[in-house]
Amino acid sequence: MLRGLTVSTLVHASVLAMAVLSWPHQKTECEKLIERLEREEPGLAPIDILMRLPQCASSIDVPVDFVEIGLVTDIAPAQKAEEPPEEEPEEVIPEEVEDQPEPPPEEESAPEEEEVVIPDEEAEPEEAPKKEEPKKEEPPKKKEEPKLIEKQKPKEADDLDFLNDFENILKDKAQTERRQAPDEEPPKIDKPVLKDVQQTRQGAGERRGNTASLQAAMRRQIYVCWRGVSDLPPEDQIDVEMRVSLNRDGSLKGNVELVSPRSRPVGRSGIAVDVALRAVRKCAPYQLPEDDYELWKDINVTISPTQP
Amino acid sequence: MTRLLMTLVMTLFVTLGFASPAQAELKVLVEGGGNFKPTPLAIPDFQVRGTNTDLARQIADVVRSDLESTGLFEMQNPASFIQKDLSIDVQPRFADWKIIKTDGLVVGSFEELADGKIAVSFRLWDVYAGEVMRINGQPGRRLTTTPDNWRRIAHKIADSIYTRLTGEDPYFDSRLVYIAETGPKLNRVKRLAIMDSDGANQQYLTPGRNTVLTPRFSPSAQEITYMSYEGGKPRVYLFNIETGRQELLGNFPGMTFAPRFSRDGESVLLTQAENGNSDLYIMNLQTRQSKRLTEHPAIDTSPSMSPDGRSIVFTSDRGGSPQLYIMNADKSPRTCPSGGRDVACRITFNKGQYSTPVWSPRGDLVAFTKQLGGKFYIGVIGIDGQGERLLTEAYLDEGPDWSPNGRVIVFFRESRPGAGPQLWSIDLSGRNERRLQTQTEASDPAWSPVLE
Repeated sequence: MLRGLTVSTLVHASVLAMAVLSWPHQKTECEKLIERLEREEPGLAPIDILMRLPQCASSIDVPVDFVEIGLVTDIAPAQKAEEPPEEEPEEVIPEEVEDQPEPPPEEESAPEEEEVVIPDEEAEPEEAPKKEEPKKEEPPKKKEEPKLIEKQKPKEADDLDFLNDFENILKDKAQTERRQAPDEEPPKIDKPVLKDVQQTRQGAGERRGNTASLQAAMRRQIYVCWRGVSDLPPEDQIDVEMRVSLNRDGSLKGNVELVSPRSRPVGRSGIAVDVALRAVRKCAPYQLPEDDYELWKDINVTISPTQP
Repeated sequence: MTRLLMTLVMTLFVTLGFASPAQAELKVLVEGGGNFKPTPLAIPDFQVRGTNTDLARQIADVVRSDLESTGLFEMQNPASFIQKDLSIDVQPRFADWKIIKTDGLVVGSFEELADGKIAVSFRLWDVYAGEVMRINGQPGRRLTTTPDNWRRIAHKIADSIYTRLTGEDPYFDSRLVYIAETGPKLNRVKRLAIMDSDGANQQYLTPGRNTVLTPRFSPSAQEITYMSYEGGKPRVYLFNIETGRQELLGNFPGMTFAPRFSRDGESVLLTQAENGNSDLYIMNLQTRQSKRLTEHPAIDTSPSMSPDGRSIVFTSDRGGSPQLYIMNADKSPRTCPSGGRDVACRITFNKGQYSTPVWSPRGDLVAFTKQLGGKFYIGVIGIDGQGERLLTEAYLDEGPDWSPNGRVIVFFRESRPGAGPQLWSIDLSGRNERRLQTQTEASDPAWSPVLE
C-alpha cells in the first residue's frame, strides 16, 4: 500500500516534471530574443538583458536586481521631484551674495553650519554639482560618495550601470539603510514592494523627528535677535505670524511676508510687528541641516510675546 | 512591462513621499519675553551744505546723546562705518550697514538758509528691511529754526526717531524745573531753576530771597505752581516762566502746600492745613473758586489727578500710617479693589509707608516714594493696587515725577547721610538709572510737557 503510494507519487511527479520541462520548448518571442542576445553577446548579466529587452521582463529571471530597482525607484521620485525647486534657489544665492557682500558676519557662523550639514548631506552631491561648485560644502560631500557606493557594490556590482541614473537616490537609500538595522536586508528578495514601503515609512518618521529639531533650531536662532516688546503696553504685545522663505544656505529668499496681522498696524502694536520682522531678518542666514532643506525652505514663524 | 511597473511605482511614491512634506510648512513658535539688548543705531555726522560744520556736528551729537540716554539704543562707533558717501537723496548700501549689525541708520543733511536760519533734514532707514521708516507717514523730516535754537532741532530729531522705533510718545524736547540748593545747612538758599531735559541751558527763575519748594508744571508749560515761604508762611503760588511774575493762589486761611495742576490745566489741587488738620482742595483758576475734596481728621496730602480728570490719588494716614488712596474727583463713592465701596479706597497694603503719589500720564500707574526699614524707594503700582514694583533704592530717594510720555521717572536722591541732594532718573523698566547733571545740589524735580 505504502509502496503503491510512493510509486504513484513518483509517477505523477515525473509526468509533471516532463510537462514542465517540455513547456519551454515552445519558445516565446521573448525567449528567442533573449537567446539571440546571449549568443551575440555572451556573458551578459541578466540585468543587462533586461535593460536591452524591457518588454521581456517577465521572462528574465533577475529577482535580486529587480528588488534593488524597486528600492531605488521607491525613493527616487521623492528625490527627483524635489530637485527642481532646489535648483532655483541655488542659482539665486550667488547673485544675492554678490549684491550684498556681507560675508564677514556670515562667515562666523559658517563653520558651525558645515559641521551640522556634512553628515546629512549625501543626497545632494549630484543634484546640483555644477551649481554648488563654488560652495564650501562640496568637498566633504564628495568624500561621502565613494563610501555609499561601496556599500552597494557587494550585492549588485552588475547593476551599477543601470543605477547610475539613480545615484542620488541610491545614496539617499544608503543613508536610510545606515540608519536602519542591517538585519532587515535579507528579506528583500521575497517581498520587494512591501520592503520598499516600510522603508519609506521609516524615512517619514525620521522626518517628523527632524521637524521637531528644526523647529527648536529656528526658535533658538530667532530668539537671539528678538529684543522683546516688554516695554509696550500689554494690549499692544501682539503675536506676529510671518512666512519666511529660505535659500539653501539659510539666507532669506525675498522678503519676509506678514501673515497675521496682514499689514503693520497703526499705533504701538506696529512696533511689535517691527520688532518681530527685524528679529527674523536680522538672524538670517539660519543654520539648518542642508539635507532637510525641503522641510525648512518655507517656514511659518509666529513670535508670541508672553507676559511675565 | 517592468518599465510600466516602475513608472507606476514611481508615480505612487512621488505622490506619497512628496505630498506630505510639501504640505507641512514648518511651523515655528517663538515665545518668551525676548532677549533685550539696546537697539544698535548708526548716526553718522550730517552732510553739510554751508560752512557751519561745527554746528552740524553738535546737532548730531545731541541726537545721539538723547537716544543713548534712554538705555534703549546703542550708538555704533563711527570708525566702523564702511559707507562714507551717504547722501539723504540716495538709498544707502544696506549691506555695508548690516556688516556692522546696525538696525537703524539715520542719514541727515544740514543747511544754512538765505534768511539766516538753519535746516536739518533726515531719513531713518531700516537696515534689515532695506527700506525707509516713515515718520508721520513721511519718508523723512525737515526742521527749520534760528541757529541759537539748534538744540531743539536736535531734540525733535531724537524724539522722532525714538517715537518711530519704540512707539512711545516723545519727551526729549521738554524741560525740567527743580530747586537749586546752595549754601550751608542752616542758611540754605533754595531757588527755582529750569533746564532742558538733557541738562543743558540751566537758569534760575527766582532770586532766592524766599525758599520755594515742590514746583509743578502746568500742561501749558508756561506756568509753574509751587510753595513759597514768602511772607514767612508757606503758601501756594503761580509763576509765569515767560514774565517771571509770581501770584498768590487763592485766599486760604491756613498754610497751603503740595500743589499740582489738574491734567487740563484749568485747576490746581493742593493741601490746606488748618487747626492741625490737613485736607485736599481743588481751585479753579478761571473762577478762583475752591472746593474741599476731603474732610477727615487724618492728614490728607499730595493730591494728583488722573489723566481723565475723574480720580485723584493722595496720601493719607487715616489707616494709621501714610498710605496711598484713590477717590473720585466728585467725591462719589467708588468700588474699592480691596472690596466694598468707599469715598476713598486704599491701594497700598504692602509693608512700609507710601507718600508723594503721582498719576502716570498714561493713566495706568501711580509712582510713589516708599519708606521701609531705613531705606527709601521710588516705585510704581497699578491703580487697582496690583503689581507694585520698586525701581530704585537709596538712603533717601524722594519726590518722583513722570516724563511727559510716562516712560521715565525723575526724582531726587541723597546717597548717604549728609550728602547733598541730586537729580536722578529711572525708566519704567528699571534698567536705566541715570544722574542728571545740575550746577548745584538739586531737589524736587518736575517735568514739563513736550514743547510745541
